[in-house]
Amino acid sequence: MINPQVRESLKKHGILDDNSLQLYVPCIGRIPPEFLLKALKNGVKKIVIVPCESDKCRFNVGSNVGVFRLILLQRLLRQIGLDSDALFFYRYFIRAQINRHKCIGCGNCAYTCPGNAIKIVSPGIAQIDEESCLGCGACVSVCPALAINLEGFENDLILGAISRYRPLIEEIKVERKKPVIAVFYCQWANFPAPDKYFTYTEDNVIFFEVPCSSMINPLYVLKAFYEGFDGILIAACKKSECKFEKGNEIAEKHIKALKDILKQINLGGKLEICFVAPRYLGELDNQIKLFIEKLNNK
Amino acid sequence: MIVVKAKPLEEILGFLLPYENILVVGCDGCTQPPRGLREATLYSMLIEMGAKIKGKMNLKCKATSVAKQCDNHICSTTLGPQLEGVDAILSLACGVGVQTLTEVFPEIPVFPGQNTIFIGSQEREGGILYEKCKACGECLLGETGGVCPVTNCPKGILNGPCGGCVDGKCEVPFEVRDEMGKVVKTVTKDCAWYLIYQRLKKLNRLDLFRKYRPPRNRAISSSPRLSEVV
Repeated sequence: MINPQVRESLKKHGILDDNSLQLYVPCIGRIPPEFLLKALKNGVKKIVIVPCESDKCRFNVGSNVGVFRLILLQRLLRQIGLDSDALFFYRYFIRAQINRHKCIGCGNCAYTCPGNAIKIVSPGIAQIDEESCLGCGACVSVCPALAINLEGFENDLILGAISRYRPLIEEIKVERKKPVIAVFYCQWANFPAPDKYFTYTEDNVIFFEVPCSSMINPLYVLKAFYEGFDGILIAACKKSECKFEKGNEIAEKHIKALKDILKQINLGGKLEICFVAPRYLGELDNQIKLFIEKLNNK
Repeated sequence: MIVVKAKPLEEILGFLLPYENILVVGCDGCTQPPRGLREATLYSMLIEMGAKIKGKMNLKCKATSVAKQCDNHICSTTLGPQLEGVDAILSLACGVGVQTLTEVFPEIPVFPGQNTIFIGSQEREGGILYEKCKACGECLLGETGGVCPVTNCPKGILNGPCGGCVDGKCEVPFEVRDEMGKVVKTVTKDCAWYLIYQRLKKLNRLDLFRKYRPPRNRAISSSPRLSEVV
């Protein structure tokens, strides 16, 4: 599913509408031109590719290589008479934004930012350098005043989405008698096949995607417990594999501190963090199964 | 800034269970770690959930934050309008904030959510907070090259290291305590006067090191204290 912010932007420009099919890949470099040709042959009229900005590619060269390959394809298509609208690009990159009216100048964000993109300027407000912002959201999770938001993943959006599950949670608990689990996963730690949204198909597991595990605010976890989730599993990238260097370490620190507090109201064992990678097929599924078993044995 | 440590939830719930409409008030000021709106919201959910576990189902908790809880004008103007129906306040500020709220709103009981432990700074990399200032009222940092012997020397001596300084380390073990006050580990720290000597030598001001300092006037640092605004 496409980032809602990107979708709004594409809709506004008349590029996307409700008939559009959304596919999702870990990197544009992954798309073989044959796949797109097949789509066009089978009746798709318009293909939009949304790559990361070239200097922000998490795989270093994926964005450039992918775009280059697809530009060649674009030219070939034109030579056989296809509209230039049949295949085109729309570069997008999400950034963090600081609400200066809420900022209390504590400096947590400036210290945590892996891109060194934030400075605290007198008289005590944080400022982001948009060019350097990597869009990971680590600043969001350490802000005590809730003054920073990541485009498309705003705090209110996520908290609202969590609270909307309350009736479904009650239904699952009462009628299907199963524990309800929330899985907050980093988009790089878990990657289902392009035509499947999630690998895990049980109905009592609800997934929330974030751009980096460092963005997971303790507030989201608390809100999830508050709305009735029985257990929360965080899926982060394996050590030294974080695309933003230390995002998974930041997430681990948050979860550890949170478990200490939650222990005091008997919820310590209901929150766990695991470290997975998409190249190990089924790894996250296994972690979820283990987590549910552990919860059921309590 | 003022360093605080969260009180155990058990103690906080003990304060709040007799009440039904609680407002958790954060502070955007100088507490370290920061206890702003996010912490207040976190606590409001923890308290409601904790109360339910203890069987108190009708306890409702809201969260807000104040720019500076130590300022009675800011508290009365910004917090006053939010107290409709509130029968207890949990303050996440330092001890000053708790007392200021009590002065400004005497009809509502105000409980501390934190233990205020010292004036200190944060060593960001390891995330450790150190006491740096004891508010002794007679700052001699100008004579010690910026290293404070009042907070860094366990004996608080003022005229050079004692005989227990070995290889620049202090003979008194530095006790690290958990939130219940129990000692969890001891570490060896640098001798304050050793550091002062090194620093003044670097600055070429060993004349300050050799200066004789009489014992501190403890009356200046004894409570209660006040200061006229200057």
